[in-house]
Amino acid sequence: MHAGRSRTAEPLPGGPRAAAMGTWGIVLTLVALAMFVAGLAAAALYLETGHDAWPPAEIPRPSGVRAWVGAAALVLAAGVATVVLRQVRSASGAPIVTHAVVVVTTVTGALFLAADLRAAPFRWDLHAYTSVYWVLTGVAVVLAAVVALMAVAVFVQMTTGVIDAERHLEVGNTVLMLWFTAATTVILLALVHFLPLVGGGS
Amino acid sequence: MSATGAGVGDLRLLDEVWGPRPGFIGWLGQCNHKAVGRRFIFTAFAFLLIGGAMALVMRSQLAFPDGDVVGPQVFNQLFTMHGTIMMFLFVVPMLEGFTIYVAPLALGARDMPMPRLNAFGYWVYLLGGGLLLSSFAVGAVPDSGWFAYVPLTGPDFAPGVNLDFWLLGVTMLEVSGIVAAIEIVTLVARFRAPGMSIVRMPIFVWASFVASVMILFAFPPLVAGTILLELDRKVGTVFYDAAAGGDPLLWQHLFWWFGHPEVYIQLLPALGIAAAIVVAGAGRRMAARTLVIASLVGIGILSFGLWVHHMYATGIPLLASSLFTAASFMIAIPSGVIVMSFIATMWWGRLRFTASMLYVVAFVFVFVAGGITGVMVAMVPFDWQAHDTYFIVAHFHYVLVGGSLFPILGGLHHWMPKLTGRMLDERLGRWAFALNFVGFNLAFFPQHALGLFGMPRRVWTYEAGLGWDGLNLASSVGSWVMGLGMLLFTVNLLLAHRPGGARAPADPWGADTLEWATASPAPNYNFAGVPQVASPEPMWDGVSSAGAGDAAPAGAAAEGAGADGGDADGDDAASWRSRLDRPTSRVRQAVATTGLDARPDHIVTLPGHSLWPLWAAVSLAVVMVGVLFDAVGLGVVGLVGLIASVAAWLWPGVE
Repeated sequence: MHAGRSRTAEPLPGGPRAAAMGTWGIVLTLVALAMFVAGLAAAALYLETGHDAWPPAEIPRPSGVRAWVGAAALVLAAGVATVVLRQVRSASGAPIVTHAVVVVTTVTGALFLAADLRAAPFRWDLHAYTSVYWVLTGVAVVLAAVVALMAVAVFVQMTTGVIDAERHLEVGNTVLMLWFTAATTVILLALVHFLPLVGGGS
Repeated sequence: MSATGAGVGDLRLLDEVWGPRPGFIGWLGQCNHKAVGRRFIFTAFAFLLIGGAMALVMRSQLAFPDGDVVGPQVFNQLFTMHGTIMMFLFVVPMLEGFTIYVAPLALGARDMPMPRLNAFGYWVYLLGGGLLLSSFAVGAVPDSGWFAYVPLTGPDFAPGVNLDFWLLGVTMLEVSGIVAAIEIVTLVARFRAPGMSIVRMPIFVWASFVASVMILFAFPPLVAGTILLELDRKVGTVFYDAAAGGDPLLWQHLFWWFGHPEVYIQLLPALGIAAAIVVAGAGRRMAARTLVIASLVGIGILSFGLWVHHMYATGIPLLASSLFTAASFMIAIPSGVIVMSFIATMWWGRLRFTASMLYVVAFVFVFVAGGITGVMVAMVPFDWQAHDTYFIVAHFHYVLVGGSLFPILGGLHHWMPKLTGRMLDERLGRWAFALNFVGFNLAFFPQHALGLFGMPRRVWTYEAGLGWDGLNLASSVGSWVMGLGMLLFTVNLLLAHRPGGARAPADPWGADTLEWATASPAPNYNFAGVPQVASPEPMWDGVSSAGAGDAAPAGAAAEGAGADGGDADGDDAASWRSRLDRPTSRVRQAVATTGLDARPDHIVTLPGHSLWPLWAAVSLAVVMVGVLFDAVGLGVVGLVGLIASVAAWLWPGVE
């Protein structure tokens, strides 16, 4: 998002052409977060390749329905948030109402992911598989909780009139974070539920 | 380089606007890059002295067979904390400090792009370091080596909170490093003076930029690894427990995924410092400048393909070992290009052998020696023989002291005028250099032989008659000599800053880059206008300008590749330049430029004072302490504090 959308930036004549500092900040933060998630994903793949069966025969593979519903909610929230961004940019529609949907959907996604952990038929200390299950799903929960907080903050900013058609970098950054969280959640859940189908197996 | 035409009143106003608030709270809330950079540099220097003192105790223990200066447990703690302090608390933060202080000046900027994030990075670093060192106070010092290999560090073999101090402290330091990297990458992308296209950036900034990108890719996997290990220790997950389907080698992969790039993260900015000193000392452009920059980028990429060469002795498949051997050999090529360019620059220039230049000459000798032994240990058969012996200790000290410490000490000589407005004494500096150089080689060269004679690393003592006695004594004497050199360096530092000492001129070295265009120490506002850059050596080209008080020279405009061209030219350009030069409102404003060709793009208003980064860092530390002592309530309080601090920090208009 170019710098014209930032409250602290004032475009020079002919500009702006370049992204705002805040956009650089969020993108680079997402790069670091992506590498963090890559480290966890690599750990899961590494542990899985050391086993003949993943999960071991004595450990049931959870259905994960709740988790996938949570992931779907996050994807939906990201999509709706993109609509919010368009509404804010064009000063059309009712972005506050639409953004309220984003908040509710995001919180719902986080709750469903957390519910999946509560329903897990095993503890995290049983086997490497169960540790992977708990931690990867847990990271998805934490990411969803963080982006939910961001969405709430933007909602409060909207209601107090801080955000308008000209200055709405926070909305853009939240949309980026939502898409990142949704994509990351899908990847983490795929590793949890579909290994060894994902990654080649043993 | 022509000077600014801003008036005295304008300068006074600029100074007030960009200066800190008065009093202790004002000092605490400083976010300006100079305050934060200096804090990083001098805190890291204090950690260097602490880590160095630990090394002296260890060498005193090993000076003679059957030594009893310290017992085995304390020795374990010392080598663990020595390595941890040097790797995590000294080198990287020191280089970040140099970058945070010098890079905005060298790029012609007024501050870092996200000053509060900058301050947050420092506070997290300070509190993370404090958390690590507080382990001494509670008698639970980490004792499993700076790389914390599992299973020695797992819950079964390392009960107590010793390793938790290490894991949580290091996690905070990694967060600090990532934050600084985000800041530096954004700085380079957006805050270069008009005309400073990407190819005109100083080599030091290029090196720091590459290292920062590497940090973004290398540090987070270690954070993942440390969190998994802490979960194993605290809540009973079994990622590293082989009996429950985990794998201890997973730690080594995650650690060295970070650990090997880390070596180059420590090397590249130091190479950049050496480059700055060489160019200034030789009085000519860096030979093969473009090739040097390409080599820095090449090292940055290749460094991610080497980590398994730390794991040859773990039973890695032959094909993998061969690939990592080849990659380890390959990285010698760009490293060699850089060293050759340094030598060529010295050869063709008119060298002034200042103390800083002496450190760079020493860097060339010592780093090349370390590089050669690096090629030796890159070969699997040799590595199997030398693994975990004193040969490895000698090798990495040649690389890290030669590649990082010596350039850092040279950099302190070189940039001290800009940091504090004082010059370090040259005569004392040369004595300190001589003691450091001789002491270092006497300390570490014999360790090659010790390793080949079979002395394993990390042993707390040894028996007489194994053929190690004389070499160990020589090594210990060398360490004491080097300790004396560091003491002399510190005395020099203190004497230079005694009350009434002589002030440094703006450009004592006749150097080429923009930081020398402004006063020493750099004023609060850095530059009294927006510099206009026409070449990689703006101080030498005769056409670049230091501020908008001057009309950009014709040469600058022609060479500037549209630096001030396009639609921001003419009256419009004069208008925004005048606003930055002669502010009418008390807000901190700076110009942001486009990524490749540095065309003026927008004016940014920067925050100047904030305590929220400090509260956020303190809250993070409270979370860590809560985790450390299993105090859930404390952890929750910290988490709530963290969320509240960040929310207040990001709220528009809140300082």
